[in-house]
Amino acid sequence: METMLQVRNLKKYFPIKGSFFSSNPSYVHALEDVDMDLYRGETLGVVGESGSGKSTLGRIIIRLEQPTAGKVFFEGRDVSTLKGKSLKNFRTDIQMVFQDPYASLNPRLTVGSAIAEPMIAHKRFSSKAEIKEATEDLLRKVGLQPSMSSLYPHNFSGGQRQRIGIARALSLNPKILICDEAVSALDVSVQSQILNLFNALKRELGLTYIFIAHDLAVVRYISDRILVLYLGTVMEIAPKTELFDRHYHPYTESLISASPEPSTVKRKGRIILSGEIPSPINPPKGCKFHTRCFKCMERCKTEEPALKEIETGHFVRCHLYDDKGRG
Amino acid sequence: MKVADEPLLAFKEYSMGFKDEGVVYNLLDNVSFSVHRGAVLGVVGESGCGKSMTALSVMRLLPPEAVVQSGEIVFDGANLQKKSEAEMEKIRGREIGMVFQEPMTSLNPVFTIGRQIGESLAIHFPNMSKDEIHNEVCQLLEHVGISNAAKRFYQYPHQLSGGMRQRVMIAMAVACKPKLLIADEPTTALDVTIQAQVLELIKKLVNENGSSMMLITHNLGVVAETCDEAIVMYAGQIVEKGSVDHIFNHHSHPYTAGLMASIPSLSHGDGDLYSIPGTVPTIDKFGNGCRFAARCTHKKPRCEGSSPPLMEVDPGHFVACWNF
Amino acid sequence: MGRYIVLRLAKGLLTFFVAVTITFLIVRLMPGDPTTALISDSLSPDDALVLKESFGLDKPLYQQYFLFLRNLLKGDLGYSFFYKDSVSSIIGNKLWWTLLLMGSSLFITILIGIPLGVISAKQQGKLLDQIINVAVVIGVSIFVPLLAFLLLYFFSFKLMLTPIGGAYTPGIDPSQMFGSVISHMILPCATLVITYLASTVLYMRNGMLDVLKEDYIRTAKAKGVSDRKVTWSHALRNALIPTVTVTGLMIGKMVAGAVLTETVFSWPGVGTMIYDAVQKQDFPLLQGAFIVLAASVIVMNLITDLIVAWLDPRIKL
Repeated sequence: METMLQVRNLKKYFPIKGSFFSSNPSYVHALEDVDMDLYRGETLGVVGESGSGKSTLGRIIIRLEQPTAGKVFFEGRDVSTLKGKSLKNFRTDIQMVFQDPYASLNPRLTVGSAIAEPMIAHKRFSSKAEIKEATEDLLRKVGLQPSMSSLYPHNFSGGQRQRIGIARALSLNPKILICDEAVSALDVSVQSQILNLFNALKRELGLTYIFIAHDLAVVRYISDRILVLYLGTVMEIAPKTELFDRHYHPYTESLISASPEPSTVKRKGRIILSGEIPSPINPPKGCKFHTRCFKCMERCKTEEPALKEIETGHFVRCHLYDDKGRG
Repeated sequence: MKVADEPLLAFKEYSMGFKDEGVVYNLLDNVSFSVHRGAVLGVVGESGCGKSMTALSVMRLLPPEAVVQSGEIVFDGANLQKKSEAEMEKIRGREIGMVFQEPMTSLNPVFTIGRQIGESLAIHFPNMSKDEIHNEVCQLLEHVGISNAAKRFYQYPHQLSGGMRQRVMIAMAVACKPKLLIADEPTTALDVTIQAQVLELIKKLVNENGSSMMLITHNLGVVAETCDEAIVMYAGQIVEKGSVDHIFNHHSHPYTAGLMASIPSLSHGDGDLYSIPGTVPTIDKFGNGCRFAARCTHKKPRCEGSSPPLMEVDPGHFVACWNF
Repeated sequence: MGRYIVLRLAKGLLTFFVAVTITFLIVRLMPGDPTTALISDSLSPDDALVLKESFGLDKPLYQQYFLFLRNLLKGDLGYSFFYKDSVSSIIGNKLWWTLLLMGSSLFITILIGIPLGVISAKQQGKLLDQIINVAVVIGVSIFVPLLAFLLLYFFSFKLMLTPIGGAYTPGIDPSQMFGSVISHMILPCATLVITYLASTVLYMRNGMLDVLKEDYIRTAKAKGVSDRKVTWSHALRNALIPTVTVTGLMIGKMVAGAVLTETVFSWPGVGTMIYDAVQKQDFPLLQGAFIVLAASVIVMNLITDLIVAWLDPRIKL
C-alpha cells in the first residue's frame, strides 16, 4: 500500500503563559513521540479522550501548528520546510472538516461564497460562471440543493452546515481529508447521514481520511485502521476488526468496556477505571497510563514501554508484551 | 415490570409551549408517563424533542417565555402545578434533586464547593450546626469519589476538572437524600471513561437511598445500560414507552426503529447505517397530525390528519402510531 | 495574594512615573516661558533672570527633570507663584475637602446605586424598571455644571434652604462646624451622586441581567434556594465583579471631574484650586495638581483591582 503521510517522533509542547519567568517553565505536553503512517485510500481513525492530543495531531499534519520536534512527511517531502508555491499546493492536498458546524462558517458570507472562497484564493477557475458551476456541483455532491448557495449559514440546521463545511473542504479536490470530531456535535439521526456521506464521498472521489473522534462506536464504523492516543502518546495501532476482537493494550480494553452499548444484553467484566485523567502539564513518569492501569506492574511506573509491532500491522506500547514482537 | 403501585412521579396529559410575539407554540403535547418508586426511567430523544423541558417542568424551573397549557404533574400524591412558589422551594433540593448537563457552567464561580454543597443541607435542615454540615459535606465528597475532601471543601469550581465538577453537582443533588433524582444529560460533556464512572456512581447512590431517577439523554447506549424503563420522545410527543427490553428488542414505532438502526455500535455488524430521511421540524411547523409523519416510511393518509394517542401493544408497552 | 499585590504595586508605580514625566514635559514644553506670568514688564532683565534661576528654569531640560524627580521623592512639589507657599501644603489643605466630598458622594452612590440596579434587573420590563431607566439616561446625559446651577438656583437662591457656597459658614462656632459642613455639602454631593448614580445603576443592572441567565443560578434554584437569596447572594456576588471594575474607573474620573462641581459651589477643594491656577497661570501649582490627580487615579485603580481580586477567586493570586 502506498504511504501518503509519515509522522516520525512528533513532539508538541505548548508553553504555559506566565511560567516563562520561573525557574522551570511549564508546558502542556500535547504530543509525545508520535509515529504513524497513513496509506492511500484508507480511513485512519484516531481515538482518544481529553488531553490525548488528537486534535493537535490533526492540526500539525495540516500545518496549522508547527511541531516542537519531529517530522511530518507528505508524499516524501518534509511538510515543515514547505514554502511559497509548494506550501500553497500542499494546502490544496490536505483539508480539514471541523467539529462545530455553528462556529466554522462565517455568518456574514453566503454559503456559496464560503464554498467558492478557497477556489478563488487558489485561482482554480477564470470565470465567475465556472466558479458558480463548481459550487453548485459541490452542493449537489454533499446532498444539498444548488439553489441554497445564496442563503446564509443561520438558515441551515447543524447537519446541513456540516455538509457545507464538507463541500468547502472538497472544493480544492484534496487527497486527504482530516475530520476533527466532525460528527460529535450532531444528533444521532443526523450523524448517521453525515457518516454515510463521508463513506460515499470516499468511494466516489478516492479520498483518504484521518477521522478524529472520541466516540468509539463511530470510529469503529468508519475506520479501516485505528490509532489509540492517551496523553499525547500512541498506545495501540491496529486494523479495525483486530482492535476490537483482539486488543492488547489495557487502555483500549477499558475504552471499549466504558463505551455504552445500545443493547440490553448485560456485559460481563465491565472495567471502570479509577481516578481522573492526569493533566498533560504534568504527565506521569514511566508509562503514561500506569496511574489508572488495572494491570500495572512495578516496571510501568518508572520505564516507558516502546511501541512494538506484535503482529503484522498491530502495534502496542505496553510492558505486558515486552517479550513479544519487534520494536 | 413493576407491580402497579402508586408511581412516585406521574405526568398526566401535560402540555406546554413557548410564547413568541403573542403567539403560543406548543411543544410538549399531552405528555403522560410515570416514574415508579425505586426505578430508573430514561427519557430519550434528539434536539428539540422537549426532554429538557420535561425535566424542568417537574421542578417548575421553566424559562420565562414558557407557558404551561394544561395537565398535571403529580409527585408523591400531590399536583406540583398547584403548589405555591414557597412550597416548591421546599421541595426542590429536598424531595427532588437535579443534576444538569454542563458541569463547567453549572457551579457558582465565587463560592467554594463546600459551601455550595452545604447550602442544600443548610436550607432544608435548619437545625444542623455548621460543624455537622461540614462533616456531612466531607462525607458526601468522599462518597462521590472526590479524594482529599477536607482540602477540596475550600476549593473553587475553576480548580476542578469537568469530571470532578460533575461529581460535585451529584453530591449537591443527593445531599438531602431526595426521593427523585432528575439527571439531564449528566455525562454528555464528559470523557468516555469518566462517563462510565459517573454513571456507576449515580446508579449506586440511587440504589443506596432507594430513590427513583429520571435520566435524560440522547445516548441510547446509556439508556440500555442504566435504565429500567424508557420513553422515546420526538418533537414534544411521546412516541413509545415501556421497559428497556420493550424499547430495544421489540420496538414498534417507526422513529424508534429508525433511531436504533442509525446508531453505530461496537457489537452490531458493519453494514451501512440507516438514515432517517429529512430533519426534525421546527416548533412553528408542527401541524395537527403525527409530528413524525413527514419522515415516516410507513405513513398513511390518516397520520397527517390527527395525532395518534399512546396505545398499549403489549402489557406495559405503549406506542403512538396509527399503524397499530 | 502576595505575588499579585507586589506585581500590581509595581505596575502602579510605573504608571505613576510615566504620568509624572508627561506632566513635567507638558508644563515645560508649552509655548512661552512659565515665568512670563510672574514677570511683569517693569522687572529688569537681570531680576527676571534671577527669578528664572530661582525656579530652575535656566537649566537644560534634563537637569530640570532630575531636579524635579529628586524633589518629588522628597515630597517637594515646588513653590506656588501666587500663593507664595509650598505647593504640597496648599494641595494638602485642599485635598481633604475634595476627599470629603468625593468620599461621601461615592458612599451614597454605592449605597443607593447597587440595590437600585438589582431591583431594576429583577423588575425588568415592568414600570419601576422603566422609570429607573429613564432617570438613568437623564443622569448619564446631563451636563454637570448645568445640574449644579439648577440645584443651586432652586434650593439656595429661590428656596433659601441651603447655603450659597463654600464648605462652611465662616466664623462659625467650632461646635456647630459639623452641622455647617453637612448643610454646605448637601448640594454638591447631590450633584455628584445624581451624575454617578446613573452609571452605577446601569452597570449593576446589566451585570445582574447577564448573571441571572447563567446556569449556576438555575442550579441554585434547583436546590431550593429562595428567590431573594438567589438574587442578593448568588447573583449579586458575581454581578458585582464587572460593576466594581467600572465603578473604580469612574472614581478616578470623579476626582478629576471635581473641577466642574466644586467651582459652581465654591467648594474649597482641589477642583477649585485647579480652576484658579489655570486662570492665573500658576504652573507649579498646576503641575502639583496634575501629579496629585494622577496619583489618586492610580491609587483608586489599585484599590479597585484588589477588591476585584478579593471578590473573584478565579484571579490568580
